[in-house]
Amino acid sequence: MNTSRRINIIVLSATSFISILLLSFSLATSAWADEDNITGSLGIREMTGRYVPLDLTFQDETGKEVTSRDIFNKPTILTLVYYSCDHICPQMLEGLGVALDKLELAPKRDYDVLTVSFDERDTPEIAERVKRNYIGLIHHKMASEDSWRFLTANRDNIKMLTDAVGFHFQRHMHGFVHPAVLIILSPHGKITRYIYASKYAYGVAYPVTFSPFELKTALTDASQEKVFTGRASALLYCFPHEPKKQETFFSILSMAGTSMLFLLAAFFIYLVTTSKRFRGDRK
Amino acid sequence: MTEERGNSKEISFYEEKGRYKGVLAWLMSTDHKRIGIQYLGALLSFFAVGVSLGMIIRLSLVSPGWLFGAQTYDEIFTTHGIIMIFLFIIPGIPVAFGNFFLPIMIGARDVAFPRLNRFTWWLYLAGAAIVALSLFIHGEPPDTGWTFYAPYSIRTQANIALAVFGVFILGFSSILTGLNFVTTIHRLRAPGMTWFRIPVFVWTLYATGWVQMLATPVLAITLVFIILGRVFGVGFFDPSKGGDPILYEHLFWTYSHPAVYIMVLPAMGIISQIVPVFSREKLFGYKAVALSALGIAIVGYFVWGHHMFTSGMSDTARVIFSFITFLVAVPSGVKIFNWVATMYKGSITVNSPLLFALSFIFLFSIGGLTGLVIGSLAPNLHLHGTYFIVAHFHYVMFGGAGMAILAGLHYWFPKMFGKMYKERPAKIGWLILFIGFNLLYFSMFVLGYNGMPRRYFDYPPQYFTGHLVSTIGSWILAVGLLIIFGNLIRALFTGEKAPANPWGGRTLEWKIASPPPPENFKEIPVIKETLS
Repeated sequence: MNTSRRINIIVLSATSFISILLLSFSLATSAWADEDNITGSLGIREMTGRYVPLDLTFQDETGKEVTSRDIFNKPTILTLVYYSCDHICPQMLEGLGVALDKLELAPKRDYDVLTVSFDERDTPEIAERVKRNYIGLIHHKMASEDSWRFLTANRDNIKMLTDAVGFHFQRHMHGFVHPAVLIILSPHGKITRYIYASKYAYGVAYPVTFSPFELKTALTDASQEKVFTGRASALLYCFPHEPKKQETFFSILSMAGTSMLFLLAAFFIYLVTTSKRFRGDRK
Repeated sequence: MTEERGNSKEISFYEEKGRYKGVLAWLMSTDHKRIGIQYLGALLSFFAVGVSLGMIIRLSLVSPGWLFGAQTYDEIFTTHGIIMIFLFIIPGIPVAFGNFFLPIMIGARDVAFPRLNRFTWWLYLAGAAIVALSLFIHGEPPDTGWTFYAPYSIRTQANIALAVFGVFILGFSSILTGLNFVTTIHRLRAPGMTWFRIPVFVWTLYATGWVQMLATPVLAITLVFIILGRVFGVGFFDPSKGGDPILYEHLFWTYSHPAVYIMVLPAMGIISQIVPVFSREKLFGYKAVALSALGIAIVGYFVWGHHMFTSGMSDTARVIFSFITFLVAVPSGVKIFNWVATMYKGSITVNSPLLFALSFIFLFSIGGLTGLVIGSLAPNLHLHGTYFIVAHFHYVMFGGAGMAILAGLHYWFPKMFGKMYKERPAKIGWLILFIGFNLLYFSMFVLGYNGMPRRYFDYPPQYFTGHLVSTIGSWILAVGLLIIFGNLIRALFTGEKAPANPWGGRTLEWKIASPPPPENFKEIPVIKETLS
């Protein structure tokens, strides 16, 4: 009887499907056994009162080389991000842009804004593209292309800069873990204040915000070389949410999916190629 | 069986004597017609429960808090969703009309695996029983919405594991039905019944069968992960354990979007049968209609992301998903144009099956066109999670698949039960249903456009009028349904005996007695031309 053979085929495919399921579960369960731990130095060690070295070299958006000596001549808001970030960095920059727009101070005359990538793989072209997203946020009549600069640097210069400002970050497989912070520098490159992004508001247009008033005070203080310490507040970290071994789970899923596809493709081929043999078989 | 075939001309499958008696004669039967009738009875019972729950939801919304609290509201809309989606509309047309008519339409005596067919019916019953159990045993009924979104579905105290397990079993019923139908269509076509001669309804069942086999395992694996999360604390979807709730949404919609085509494709098949019969015309563009069913099934796999435009996805992915979503409109449009073209210059008799079919075309078009509105990115960000979505999918599910079930029921009722229903009450019921339907759901488009979020128990006063109109619409719709089903139930008992071919249909089911004899055909017919 053909019926029993057909039932065998069904039972066989059902069993293989279920065993694939079971296998995936046992593998996936073990994938979650160890949690992703962040160790080592990470975060902000406040360096207020110290100076950023003036001999650091960066590349601006056009690829031109600039040194920190050239750049630091006004109170400066320094942000450290990486340009491929799709977590908090863009939202922090957006929040900063919105706050700057409300600032009573004039860009370029009263202050500078500087964003430096700590990812040495970022290039001036990428920086230029990122800049396009934020430069338009500031509508002040003194605003120009230069009022917010996006710089890149090589590994050594990045390290010197981040060490100088006490900014500790780590590279992970899918990005970086790093604090979200604004660093205020005086015209001579003295670190005068840290402003933390400390709150994340879910479900609103600008989840990360800064107070224009606080920025103004900080910049005015910086222009007088006044150092502000204290007021420790909670610090937001930007991190890629990619649990360890999640890849394993995805590969299990794709394995199960692919075998399912093959099974059904085989079934289709079986149906098409053996069609004539079975036709009229049943009465 | 063989010795009985001699007198099978006289008796119908209802009168056939088997090994079992009473209820068991039905439950143990491997006859595709008996299984189809049983499925139909179960589906319509669940439909009645789902409608009642929907009525209660609507009633609560005109005066929130008057009937019950917010938690109960959550449980009721969840149950409404689970019953309507998993117990009524997804199994829907294939298991009831597909089981009954697929073998007849291709000139076969039964499906390829009759015992497997009976097994799917048992699985369906078991799944339904487990889902029902999750409502009544200690603890609370599910309150997650029919989508069981993680991580809430992992944390809530309600009986999620049981409900999800029920749906899991229903899924296997669905997979095996698909397997059975696909094999039947490949293997058991009558001599001369080539691929391009089979009725379009069969084509749509074929496409649906593949969707069932390919998509439903994804649902199964996802639901098992939910159960593992609840029972063993495995954190696949729980961010506090390193999992990813967005992954759940991806997996869920990878199934649930194709599931929309499991519901709608066979509905389109029914309409493709009815429109030519009542227009006295051949179906315009048979091949285009048949192949567009495959087109919809294939493209339908790659659009699931449009359910998640606001969940967090790269812009590239969103633009691609949006674009593919627009592509689905093309084969759907092909079908609509062909149905209309079929009626052009046809000699149309306006009987109730045609009325239901026409309202399918109208309502499904509204559902489809608003689907384009929410399928494009910018409006979606605005309308996501609002009543606009609720209105859209009710137009597609109920206005589409639901209307097609009613159309099919009126079209095939004489064949399935051997009785004629009264035409006038059917038409009156249809009209009332149609008016109620549009009041009920169109006001939801307006509500949603104005920002009324879905699933909410309460709302600010400016939405009251919209909710009131919608609720009044639900009463009118219920009256329409009562008339329609009252008329059909009365016909079961007192209806006149139906002739073999009351509508002048050309497909094979109209060439045999009403109701059909036990093994359908005394002799397997030989087909010489396209029948629809």
